[in-house]
Amino acid sequence: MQIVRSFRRRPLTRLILAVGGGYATTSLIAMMLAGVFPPPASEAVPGGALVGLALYPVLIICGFMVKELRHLLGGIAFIAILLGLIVMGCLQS
Amino acid sequence: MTAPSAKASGGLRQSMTWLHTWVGLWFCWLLFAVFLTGTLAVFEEPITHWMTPEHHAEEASATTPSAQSHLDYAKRLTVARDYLAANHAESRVWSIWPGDRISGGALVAWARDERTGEFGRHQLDPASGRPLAEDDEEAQARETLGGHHFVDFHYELHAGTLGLWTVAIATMAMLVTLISGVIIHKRIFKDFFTFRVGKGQRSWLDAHNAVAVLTLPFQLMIAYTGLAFYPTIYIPAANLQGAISTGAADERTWTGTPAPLPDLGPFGRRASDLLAQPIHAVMIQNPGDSSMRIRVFGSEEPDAGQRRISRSLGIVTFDGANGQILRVQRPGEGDGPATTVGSVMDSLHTVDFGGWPVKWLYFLSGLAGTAMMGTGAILFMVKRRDRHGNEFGRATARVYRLIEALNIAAIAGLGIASIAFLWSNRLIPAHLVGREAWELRAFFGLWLMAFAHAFLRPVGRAWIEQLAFTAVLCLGLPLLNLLTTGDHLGAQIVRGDWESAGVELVAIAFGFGAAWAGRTLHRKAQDTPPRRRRHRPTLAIEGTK
Repeated sequence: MQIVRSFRRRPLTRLILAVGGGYATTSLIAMMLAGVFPPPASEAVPGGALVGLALYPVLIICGFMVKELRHLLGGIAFIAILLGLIVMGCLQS
Repeated sequence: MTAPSAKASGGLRQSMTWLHTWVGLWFCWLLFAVFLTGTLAVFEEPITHWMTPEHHAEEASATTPSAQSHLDYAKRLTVARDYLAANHAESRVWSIWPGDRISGGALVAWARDERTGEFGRHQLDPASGRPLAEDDEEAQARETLGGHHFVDFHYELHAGTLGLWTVAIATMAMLVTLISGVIIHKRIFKDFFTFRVGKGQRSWLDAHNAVAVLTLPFQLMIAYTGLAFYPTIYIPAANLQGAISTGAADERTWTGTPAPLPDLGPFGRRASDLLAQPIHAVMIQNPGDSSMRIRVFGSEEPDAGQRRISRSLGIVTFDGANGQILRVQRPGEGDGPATTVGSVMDSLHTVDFGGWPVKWLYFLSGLAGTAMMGTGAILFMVKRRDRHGNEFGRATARVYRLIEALNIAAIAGLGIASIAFLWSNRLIPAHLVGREAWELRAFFGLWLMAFAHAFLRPVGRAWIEQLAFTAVLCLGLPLLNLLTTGDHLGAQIVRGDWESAGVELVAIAFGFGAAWAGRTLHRKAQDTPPRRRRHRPTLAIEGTK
């Protein structure tokens, strides 16, 4: 709860979490997209990275839109689980 | 920055305002420099042309019809092959540029040094195959970075990987600031048509809004395509899925079984027929081995950029041992969607299409974007002159002073440094060893001095003095050129050298702009009562109060 209160009060904490959390999420998304895209990898890797670069500023903005830290963390977890399921589904098919 | 904490916990617009203000402030000076130099980089070639006056006559003659002789590609390829076989037989990669099809030009061969992995450049006499002395062509030309200085600076600050990352972070901050700027605007399009002159802070805000809305799509595009140059460097996690080697399918392992070096002329002719393009370059992998691959690259027509944004050269890959065609990539065909998208992004960012009209459009949009950053930086301080924000506690006054100095140095100081770079090209002796580095020292030295001046002088005086100095340097550039090379604007226009004339005309335009801004500030300062000025020494740029 201390972290949550700190997050609400201190914009710098919010900034660091939005930038760091956003980058981690972006990397995760780019990695999963690169894995999901059909071969060749020379197409999939830059494709995933390009999508990631477009999402990153939006994720930072989202980090400032949410009021509660738990909402942000929940969003990141939701994205991770969703993408994980997609990747698993693609691999099985 | 204690005050915004309350705001950050407020509504969406408040948190976006905080994000826009502070991220914008801390990155605006760097982004201003990147945007201004990037805007100048649009005209990299004309600037380089102006900075190498020794080449003017040579370049003019290259475009005359008599120089458009048909090249004997087959002979040139044979000459280069023989030279490389005799001198670089151990190299695993050879590249041959048979010459520019318009002007003929030199025959150039490259071979990779197997110890260092670097390529060595060898310029050959097309008739004899004798290597030309390195300085033969450039003996008369001065060493200069030319317009490439602005290109390098705007994406890596002349600081390699560190600079690349710094600019990338600033670019991402720009994207965040643009998006948050849109969110905080209640009446974005109404504001675009609103400009209230002489209203102090309101005028600066109107100017900031107008140029931002006008060029918003351009700025989003240019920022994103800038990042898209090196996507896997910025997000290396994407590459964790597997090691990538572009073109790996075409590479073969050295077998050690010798194979005769073929005559390259027929390969060039076949590729040229298949692609319907003249030859641009020939690359030979594993020369003299049974695994030899020969890749012939086509050359686009000079006006290809007028017709399409996504361009790629045609490539024909041959098995060097038996002459069999392995792969034909026709002009305009990419390897796949991501490569094609990447190619379009590159072209969009580097203005590699549309010719001069689009270059001018980019130049004007870039200037508007630069103005947006400049007005944003000034607006921050104009807001706080009347109403102290106390964001930094007891250090607020000192931080404000630092911000004022950075505003002056980033906006007026960079103008001085940029035009001083052109002056240094004429003032530094033409054959001084390492003069490229001296030109850079002049650029950074003047910029540093501008910052020191902005910090030491009263803010109002610093603005006026730096703008006046910028105006003098810009307006004096044609005169300097006349005194040092004997060339002048009239002669440039008469002989149709619009690249040189364009540089000097744009410098004159900037000079008048800086002079007008300095004069306006000077008048406002004169109109302000002395007592008021004594109590508010940081007024100057506000000017309208």
